[in-house]
Amino acid sequence: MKLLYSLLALTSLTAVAIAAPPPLPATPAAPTEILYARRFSVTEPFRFAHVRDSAPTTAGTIVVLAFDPDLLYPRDTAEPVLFAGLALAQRANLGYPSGRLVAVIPGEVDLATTPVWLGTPALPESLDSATIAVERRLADAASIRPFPAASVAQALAQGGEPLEVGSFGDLSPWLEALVQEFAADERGESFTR
Amino acid sequence: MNAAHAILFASFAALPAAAAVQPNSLRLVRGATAIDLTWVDPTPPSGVFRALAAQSLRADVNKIADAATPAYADPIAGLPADLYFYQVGDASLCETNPDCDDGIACTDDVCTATGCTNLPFGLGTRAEIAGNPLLTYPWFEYVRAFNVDAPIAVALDPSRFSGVATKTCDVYVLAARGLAGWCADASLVDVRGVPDTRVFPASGMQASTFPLTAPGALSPAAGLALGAGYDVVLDCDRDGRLGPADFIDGLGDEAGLYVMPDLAATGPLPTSSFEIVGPLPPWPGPWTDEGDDLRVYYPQALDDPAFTGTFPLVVVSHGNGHRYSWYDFLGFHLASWGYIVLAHDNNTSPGIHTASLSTLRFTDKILLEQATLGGGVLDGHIDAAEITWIGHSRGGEGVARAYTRMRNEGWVPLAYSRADIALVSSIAPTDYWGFGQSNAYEVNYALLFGSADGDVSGCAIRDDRDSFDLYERAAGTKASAYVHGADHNDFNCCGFDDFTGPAGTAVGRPEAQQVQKAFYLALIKHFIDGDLPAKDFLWRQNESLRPIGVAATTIIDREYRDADGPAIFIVDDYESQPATTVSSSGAQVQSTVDNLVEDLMTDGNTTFTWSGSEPMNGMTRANTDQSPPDVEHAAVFDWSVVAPAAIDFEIAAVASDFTGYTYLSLRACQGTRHPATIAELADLTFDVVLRDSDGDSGRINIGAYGGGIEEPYQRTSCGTGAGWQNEFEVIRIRLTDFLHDNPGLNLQSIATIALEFGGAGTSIQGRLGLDDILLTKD
Repeated sequence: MKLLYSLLALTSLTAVAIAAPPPLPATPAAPTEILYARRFSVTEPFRFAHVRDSAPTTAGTIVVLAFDPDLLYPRDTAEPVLFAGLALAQRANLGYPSGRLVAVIPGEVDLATTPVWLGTPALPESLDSATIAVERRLADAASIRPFPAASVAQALAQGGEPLEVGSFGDLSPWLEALVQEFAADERGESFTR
Repeated sequence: MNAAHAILFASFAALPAAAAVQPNSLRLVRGATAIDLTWVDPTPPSGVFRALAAQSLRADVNKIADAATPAYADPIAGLPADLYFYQVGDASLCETNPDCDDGIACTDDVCTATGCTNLPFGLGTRAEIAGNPLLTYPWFEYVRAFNVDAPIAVALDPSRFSGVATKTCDVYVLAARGLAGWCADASLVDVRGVPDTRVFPASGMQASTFPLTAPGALSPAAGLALGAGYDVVLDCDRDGRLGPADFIDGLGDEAGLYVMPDLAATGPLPTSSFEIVGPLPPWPGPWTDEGDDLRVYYPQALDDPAFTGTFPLVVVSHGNGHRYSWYDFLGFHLASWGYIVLAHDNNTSPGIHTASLSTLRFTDKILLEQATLGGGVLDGHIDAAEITWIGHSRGGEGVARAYTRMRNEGWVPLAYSRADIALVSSIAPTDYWGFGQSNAYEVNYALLFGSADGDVSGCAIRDDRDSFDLYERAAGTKASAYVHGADHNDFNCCGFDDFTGPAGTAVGRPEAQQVQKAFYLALIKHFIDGDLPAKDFLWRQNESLRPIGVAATTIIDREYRDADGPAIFIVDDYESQPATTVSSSGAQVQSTVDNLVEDLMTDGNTTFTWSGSEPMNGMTRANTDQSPPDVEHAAVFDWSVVAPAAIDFEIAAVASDFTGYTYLSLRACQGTRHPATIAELADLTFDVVLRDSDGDSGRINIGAYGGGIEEPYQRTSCGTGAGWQNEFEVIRIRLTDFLHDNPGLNLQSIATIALEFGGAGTSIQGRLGLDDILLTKD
């Protein structure tokens, strides 16, 4: 195949990379905006089973966050993990290319005092409370702060009354509606080329 | 005459196919009171047999002992004066059928130390005959598979088969009959209408090569099997019947040749599909352990309530950010060739543990709920005894993780077992969890990878993106295909374009999926259905055999390795004997190459930059980030224009008989970004030389078969310079190719395998990784 590469060298002079995925922006990275927040409670306690030492809870907050889309480019290699305070939040959509991420933050959380951010790329299943605490310290060091109280209030107003459902799975229709509203580009078969 | 003086001590090769006894290792010494037998058998007990005629052993009559150690003393006292033959091995296969009667009248049925043998008699001499002429020595390659659009030739070396020398023979090609068929009917009827008449010379492989068929002359149609089988006969007494003076390629279960259709083309069965969309959102998300959406692709025959057949199950587990609905092209393709394909939601967002649960549970789901899924169309039609798992990216690691869960961690499926998983395959898999948790172990394993992957790239920066880790640690029979210019999402319908490579080298999604369809069809047909010619597409150089629907310009590196076992003899796999002067088989290695190092197959830093002080640069095949780490090793070395160089592997006497094996196999890769690689930037070739104990030799340039060791894909980043990860390719040379025009070479007594670099007609310089020098049966 020497000829092929020789021709390539002539035509491109250097081996130019094209159409590669966007480079992963630096983390920790804060959301640029909180667009929506709605508290919920469930009758049946839930926990994120893949987080090694997560505790069951019956409360949480659904949020819609705005990020630099490149942070959310879907990858099979490690992606930035979404944190809220000392909890790992649960993504409900890809968030790319819209830059709008629908997520569930477990537990009773005051978003006006709790920072939310995308931390070090990792598999969520590889995390535990100790590694999450490390991520929190990194976020603090990066001056990631909670949303202004006014923004949180506005987002909660957008969300409306707290939801009361039986189980975590019962949240699905609300989450689906939010994805349709904020990240409509994720519908359909193709993520396009 | 003393009885002992009349005893002729004979030893037969205890073939390793059915026994662990080392071939030709049996030694006999007459002592004062006993015949002392010793042999090599790592796993005794060994059966010891004595008979009055060669190849006439009966397990129930001739067995004289089960020896707990590889030695036995047979008392001479009481033995009548006669000629005795001894054999050791395992004839347990004969014990339920001591006569070894196969019910075929024209076979000689005997029990040997390896079980029953049923040798045909009166039906001519078996020989490889069909193949392709080569431009250089060995002048001809005998192969099993021919694309329908390719010509076929025949050749027989008079120096090996004297019965053909100076003979005029009629060359027939016939629909394959099998041994019983030939026994019942030895008449010759050429499918072309009339045979060719060929005059063989007294000697000379090239002069003994003749065209057989033009492209398209033989039909490839074989139903759901891949390739129509044909036998080839040289009727050298020209009586229109297969007889003792004739030669046949195909007298047995295996045909003489197979004519192959386009493996990337739709198969013979109409297909259908159904989809289940659960209440959970349709985009990827960690809603439950496994999600609730699936698509099933199946042969349309299942829609007929009167249909009673079954089809093997293939499960497809997507990657992160991907969807279950992105594999229609593969699902319909495999369904058209007789498989039921399930593509399912895969919970990859948390990681690999959760993805593996998706695979495990969805496999249960389709089996447990077949009576209701899709209206029950699958009910009773799923063959769950030969399941294939295919996973992409995180899903590709997930399928290996799922196998490990069953094997080591007590996961018990409800509707199937670990033994039902016959093939695990990964497309550009991640390797987050390493040897201990993501391991296909002994199951058949296959890997598909694209060199322009912008996600699981293969860069040395982190081990979790080294797909080939999974290939290396798999201990079963395994195969891989490395596709230049294919990216991560070329292997599904709809993922983002992540191509990362030199401009102009992207093969594009349609072409990558042609490769993918052909690769998986060959894999599954071979590993699940035992299809023989499909195997050719797993190991032959792409320059020699590529699927018809794949472009000639598409570069594919193939690896294939049989699992360790009696079917192979390891000359050197670098997994033991760390000194460069001793091979894994314990014999001496002498070399004149430069910078020869044996080491772990992992790049020593985070880049592919050639520094001159990092021997394993470019190796991305061992995960050392996880514990326990991978342990697979290889050798690296180089040679320069200054002088030719060589590596000589001496062969121990007990292993010197190569006649029980079909191929000499090795794999090699160019060292990425090394100055010699950059200087050559072409397929590397070298000579393989066999030398026997008398000093006779045979020499074959690996380039004779149409390719060499591919130069690295010229991708940049991951350090400075151009050239991506080291790409291994397997080279398998039929051992009898060394005998072409070379009757003096004695394959029963090989003393040395030499790899010679820089000689005439080979690459004058280069940097290679080398591994798995094996003898293998086919």
